[in-house]
Order: sequence, then C-alpha cells, then structure tokens
Amino acid sequence: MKAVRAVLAALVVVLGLAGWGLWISVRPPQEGSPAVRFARDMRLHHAQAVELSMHILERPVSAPVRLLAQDIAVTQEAQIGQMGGWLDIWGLPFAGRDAPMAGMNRVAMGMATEAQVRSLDTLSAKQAEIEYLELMIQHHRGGVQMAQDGLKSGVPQVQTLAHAIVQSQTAEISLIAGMLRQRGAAVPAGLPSPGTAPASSDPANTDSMPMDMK
Amino acid sequence: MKRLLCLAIAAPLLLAACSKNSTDASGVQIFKYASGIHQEGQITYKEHPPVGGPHNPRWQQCGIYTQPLYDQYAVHSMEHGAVWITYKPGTSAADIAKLTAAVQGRSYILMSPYENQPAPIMASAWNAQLTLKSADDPALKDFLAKYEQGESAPERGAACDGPYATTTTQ
Repeated sequence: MKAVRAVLAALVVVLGLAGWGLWISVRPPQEGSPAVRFARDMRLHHAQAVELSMHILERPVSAPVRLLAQDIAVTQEAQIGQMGGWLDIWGLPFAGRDAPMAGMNRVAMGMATEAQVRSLDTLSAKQAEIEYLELMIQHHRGGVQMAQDGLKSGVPQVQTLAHAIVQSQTAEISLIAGMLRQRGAAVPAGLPSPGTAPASSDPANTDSMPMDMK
Repeated sequence: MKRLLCLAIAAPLLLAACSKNSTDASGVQIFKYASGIHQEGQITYKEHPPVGGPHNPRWQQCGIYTQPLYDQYAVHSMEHGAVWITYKPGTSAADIAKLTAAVQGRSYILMSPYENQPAPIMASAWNAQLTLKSADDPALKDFLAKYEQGESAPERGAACDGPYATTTTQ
C-alpha cells in the first residue's frame, strides 16, 4: 500500500513537471522577454537600413552601390515583416509600452543620426556613396551585435533569423570594406563603446530633427 | 409606398449609424475609415485632427515638429502606423517637454501643434483617437503601445520616412 502511494506520488510529480515543461515550450514569448525585445529592437534597426538605402537609391550612384542598396532594402524589409509576423502571432503589439532599443546607446549600435541620413540627399553623388558605405558598415556592425542577443533568446525562429543576420551582415561588412578601399576611402575603425556617447545624442527619428524642420 | 419611404429614410440613417464612431473601455474613440485613396491638394476632414480617409500620395516624415502640419500628409503617415500627438498652440513649454519625453526614441510618431482641435492635447492614429487629461496622462503610453504601427493601421509598418516623405509644415 505504501509502495503504491509512493509510485502514485512520483507519477504526479513527473506528470506535473512534464506538463509544466510542455507549457513553457509552447507558450509564446512574453512581454519583456529577450525574443520580444529582439523583434522590436531589430525592426527599428532594420528600418533605418532600409531608410538609408532608399535615400541613396535616389542618387546617381554607381551600379555596385545601387545593387548593394537594393539588396539591403529588400532583405531587411522582408525581415521587418517576418518579425512583425511573430509579434502578431505572439499576440503582442509591434510598438509596446517602451520605445524600441530603450536603454541602448543607438550610436554604439551603429545607428546613423538624422543629419547623417539627410546628408545622403545633399552630398555630391560620389561623396554620398562613400558616406552610405561608411554608415552601412557601422550599421551592420551594430546589427551583428544585436543579433548575437537574438541567438540567446531561446526561441527557435528568432535564433534562426538572428543567425542569418549575423552571417549575411558579417559577409556584407567585408564586401563594403572592399568597396570603400576601392574608392580610396578608409574603413571606419569600429563602433564607439556604449559608454562614450550620451543617450541624448541618440539618433532617434524623433529627437534631433524637429528644430531644422520649422 | 409608405414602407418604401420609410426604408429610403432608414437606410441612410442605418448606414450613418454603422460608420459612427464608438468609444472603447479605455476612452479611445474608434472610427471605421477604410484604407484611403490618394488625392492631391488640400483635403478637408471631419475630425480634427483627422483619423483616416483620403490623403496625399506623399506622407509626412515622422518626427517632432514645432509648426502645424497639413492633415493630408499626416493622414498618409497614420495609414502606415504613425501616431500623431497634437496640442493647441499656447501649450506650455513644460507640457510640450513632457510629451516629447513620452515619445523619445519611438519612430512612428508625429507631434505638432494643432489649432482647430476640441481638446488641449490629443493622440490620433488611423481609426483611433484619445483625448489626454494632461501632458503626463498615463493613458498615452497605453495608446502608443497599441496604436503605434497598430493593427488598425491599414499599412502598418510601411515607412514614415525616406527620400519622398515630406517635411512641409504650415
């Protein structure tokens, strides 16, 4: 009788643990989890790569730069949609209560300032193309860093995309470095460390722009 | 005949009732504009600020402005998921600073003064509008969480920047 009770108790514990494990594994990522933060942060980061590319595509730049810009724009726009699809299926809004990349130093994550984005419209085509390549190499460096976080999210589809981003953007960093050298331009040394630029210099779409837009 | 007449009167009323806005539990007014057609020139809207309808082929570059915007560009950005925060001219610098802080770092945001609106501070998205009780009304954060690139925007996630986004102000 005692043995039966012990077996039953053990069974309850095992089933309970299994059920809990199953629930954890099928439960969608929750608000505040690394996967959700990754989706929102990377959507914002990608959006700026698309924006930079859209600006340079309006300029009479060389064919290799046009090809690169189109490749970046279509790839990252598709991934923005993919990440939005996750949030939808997880039952979470695209935006969330906190700003994307909240607490991150955006410059250290390779984000261009609003003035840098605008400079692609006003520099000579030759200079604009070099500026685009420089901004993109920094942007990719930050993107790869952020994707490393996605690798640790524990959510398979997030890890798959994060892995793809690390691979393709790392390859493109070498490609862009080569393009810069071909044009006689220096490859930017690297990203500033997160501690060097104050948060107020964050290149959000929303902060630096207004004053010169009256 | 009478019945037909009744129907003739009732049908438009019923239609009007269907497209009439409602208010949800969090005090957000809900509208039912279908995704809008493109139309050049000035467009007059029923709501101030507008919450949907026809709009200019160009969209307003998202960001914070100190001058009033033209409705027809802003509505296009709202179709892409922008939330437009508006305040009456004469709003204190302290209140504007609070609003600016609330949207810091967010990307699908328009903010500007707006002359002809029924309340001091409002937040508008495609098919949704909130009247804020104050510049630090916590309801703003909920509204942003739900409506910035929200499900009600017909083309949520399409850019509100880029080389053709207009930066025009009034």
